[in-house]
Amino acid sequence: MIAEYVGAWLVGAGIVFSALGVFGLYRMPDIYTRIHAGAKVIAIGSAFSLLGVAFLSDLETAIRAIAVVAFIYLTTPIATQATGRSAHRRGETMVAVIDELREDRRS
Amino acid sequence: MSGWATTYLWGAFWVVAVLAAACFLVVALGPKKLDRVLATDMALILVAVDLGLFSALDESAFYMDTALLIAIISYLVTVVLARQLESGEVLR
Repeated sequence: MIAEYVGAWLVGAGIVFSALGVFGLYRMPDIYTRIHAGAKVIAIGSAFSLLGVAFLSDLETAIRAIAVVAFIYLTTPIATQATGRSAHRRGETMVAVIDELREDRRS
Repeated sequence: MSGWATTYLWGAFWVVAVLAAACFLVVALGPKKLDRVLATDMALILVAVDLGLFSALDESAFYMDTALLIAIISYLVTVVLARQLESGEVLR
């Protein structure tokens, strides 16, 4: 019974993180910040949801869910780094940059 | 699994399906190519999560194997497309 409550809480938390990440995909101003928002969906949202599934299901499914989470955690940094490097080498500009030093030197 | 947990998981399943559809909308519409690549990665991971939720609902480990395969495809698609867009070649 407690495992069901823990699993439900984890699935809910994962869905909240995923929803915020998808919202960021639409709202963020440049590709770098969109990658940052997308990593939330991939890393935290999927991990919480699948760990919640592990709490809610039998042992065989739980072991596979943990294996999927481990695989996602191994591969996500490589995929997001490849996307970010591709954006940088294609000359994508950063919009969401706060450069206070430049503003101080102007004034 | 008790009744409220099954209902809760069905709700979670449909919410994740809607989020994946929102990502596929970005894949279709853009605005830029790299946004489509990023949205593909996110959408496929959300599909994998959806399959994991369905695996718990169906009480079968089969869909979790499919989720792992989708996660592998997501990783490969993202890296290959990003490198293709970066330099025009995947292997060097």
